[in-house]
Amino acid sequence: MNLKKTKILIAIIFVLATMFFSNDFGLIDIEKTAIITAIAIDSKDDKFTVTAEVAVPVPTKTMSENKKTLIRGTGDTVGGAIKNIGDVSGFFPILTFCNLIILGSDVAKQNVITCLDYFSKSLRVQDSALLVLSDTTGEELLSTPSPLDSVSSFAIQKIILKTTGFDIDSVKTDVKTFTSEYYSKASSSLIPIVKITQKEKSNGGGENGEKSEETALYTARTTAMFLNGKSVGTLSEDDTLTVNLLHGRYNGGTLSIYSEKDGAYYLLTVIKEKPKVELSVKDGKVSANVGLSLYCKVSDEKKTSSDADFLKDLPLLESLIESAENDVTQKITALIEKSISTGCDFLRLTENLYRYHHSDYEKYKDSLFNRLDYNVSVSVYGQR
Amino acid sequence: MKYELKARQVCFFIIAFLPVTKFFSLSCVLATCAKEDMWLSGAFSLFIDFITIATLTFFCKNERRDFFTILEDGLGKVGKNAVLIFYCAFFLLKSAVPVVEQKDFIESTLYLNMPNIVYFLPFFVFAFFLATKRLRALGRSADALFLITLSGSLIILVLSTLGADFSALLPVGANGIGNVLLGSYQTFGWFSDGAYFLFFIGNYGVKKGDVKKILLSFLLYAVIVIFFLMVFYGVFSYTAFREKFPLTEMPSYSTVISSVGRFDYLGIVFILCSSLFSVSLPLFFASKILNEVFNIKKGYVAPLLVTGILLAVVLLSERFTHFIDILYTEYLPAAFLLFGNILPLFIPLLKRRKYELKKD
Repeated sequence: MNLKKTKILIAIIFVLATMFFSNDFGLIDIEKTAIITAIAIDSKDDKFTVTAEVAVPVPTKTMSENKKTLIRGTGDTVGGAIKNIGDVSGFFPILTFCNLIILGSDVAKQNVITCLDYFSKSLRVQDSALLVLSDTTGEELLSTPSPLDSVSSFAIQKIILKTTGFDIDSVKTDVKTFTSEYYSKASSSLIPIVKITQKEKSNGGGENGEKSEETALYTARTTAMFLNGKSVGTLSEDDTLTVNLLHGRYNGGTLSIYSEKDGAYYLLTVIKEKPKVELSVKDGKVSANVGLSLYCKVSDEKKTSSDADFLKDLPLLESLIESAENDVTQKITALIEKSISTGCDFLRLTENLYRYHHSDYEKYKDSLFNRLDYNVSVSVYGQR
Repeated sequence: MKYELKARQVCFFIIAFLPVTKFFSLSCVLATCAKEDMWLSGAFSLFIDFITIATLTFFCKNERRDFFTILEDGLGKVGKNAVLIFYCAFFLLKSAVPVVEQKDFIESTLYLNMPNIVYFLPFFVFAFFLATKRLRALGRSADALFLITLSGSLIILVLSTLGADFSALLPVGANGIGNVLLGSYQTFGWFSDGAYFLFFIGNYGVKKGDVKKILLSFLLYAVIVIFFLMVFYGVFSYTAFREKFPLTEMPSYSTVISSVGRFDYLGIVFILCSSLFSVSLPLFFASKILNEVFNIKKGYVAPLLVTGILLAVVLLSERFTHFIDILYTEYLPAAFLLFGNILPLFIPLLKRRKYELKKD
């Protein structure tokens, strides 16, 4: 290659590298960037109010806890309200790191897809952002700090996102899952309800003489049921636990069982679970067979007297197995009744009918719950 | 005899370049029409491409003349030029939507704020540069990139499979054969890759077993694409129709990603590297056609012309995206099918014509 061509090539590479590393001369000043970690959506007088929790980048040489601030914007649409945040604050809102979307209780009274569709269609927000419902307003939930983390959205995510081995006592849903379920045949979905359970005032008094601050603990053990985007009921703590059992998300979780025959409380750890929901269609009858197989072991027990010979790896007592099976069967039956009464098909029976009994789908899709018979079978077993 | 390509490079060409253009908006177009049977639509299009490529590979394996010479011997110079002009238009149209979707993908996913058109100009510089090269350059690029494409595809597919519900593909065939064929028809612009193989005729030596290797490479490519379509629908199911750029979204639901971080972008960058070549392929062949038809000696004229035309299309696409999408999926599929799959099937018949005339 001659010298002229080499020079031209070097010049081209230099220009391309400059454009690449400068984001095509569009680099954003980091101090004018609002990295939004969570969004709360409330509705009032036909307008949406979006409260964004913004992580503030603070230059420091030492380790310090996360800092955040809240910015509010209003608009006729959710997208408009988010844009308003940028307009009023002067920050450029970056939603790429938004991992949590909180819906206020007032939003749940209308069709929530009107606000969630924006997130599903937009590439600015990732579809894997968690979705929760507040039992008050979204803004109150975001603005109340928690002792778990100085950034309240991180604290909320900690109680929703639990890995295997923790008690998964809340339902987990994200934007993609909710919108996919909304557009499904059953149009039914679940969103965990985050409640503030207790508020405490923590006294300040550090070197800077900080004021006392109110902190809150959150729980997400109850769940809102949605049909066609509107809230139709609530699942209790037991129902939520049962939903997690039937969705196969409870490996490593625990069940508190009272054995009437022994008069003792046991804490069973679910080592492995195998749920099964099958639909069968025969002679005009639609039957759902809901099965659950649980391999458990006793983690703890409370008896009237101490049992010095107790060994955890012994096979489960027959009385305990019977009590556990009855308990779980009752919970599943109550859950199915709730699904039938509200019409919220979170067990995906309509999907089951569409996918596995397609020839009967058109015939039974509108009257599925009216003609549904169900049979629950639970088997609990331990060491052999 | 020295050939431009080796048979190995033809195999790598299939694996390196053909799958990547199917990873963008093709899947949402298929899902809109065929819903859970979208993978059947993709499979049907791939089957048609397979017939074309198998025919060309098998019946032209011992051919010493290239595509241009076969056309001239069979149709005369005027006939050859007429056919080649249509093929030039075919390649320019075939490149339009993939280039626009590349631009949109990069703009939407890799940039924080709205860039202007300048950021995409380097692509045209690259496409121009590639179009000035010979077929040998494509072969060498395929040698280098087939592992990149495979690695990128593997990363994306493995991570996406963890969050996919394959029962969403049931029931098979529920949408009817009509919707499956319609989905296939509307996406011929993304397939119709048989036309590339016209330019390989007479340009690579075939030893024993090479035809089988080429067809097996095609099967591997087909498996990758069909599996991608299945995973896509398994991840998005009822919202699949609106997922125009699934590459960045599909792996994000895996718990590995939420724990470790977005290392799936490594796979995405690998695929973007390969797609740079893949999307430039039609421009490469269009410039070769122009050189042949107009007997252009200077190597930069035809590449400059084709990249200039495509740049104009990309600039227009800012305002006419909807029109271009409808053109591509409703009015042009028949042309893509004709030039990409049907006419190449006549080449084995055409190549005999010179010898039959001699006998007469």
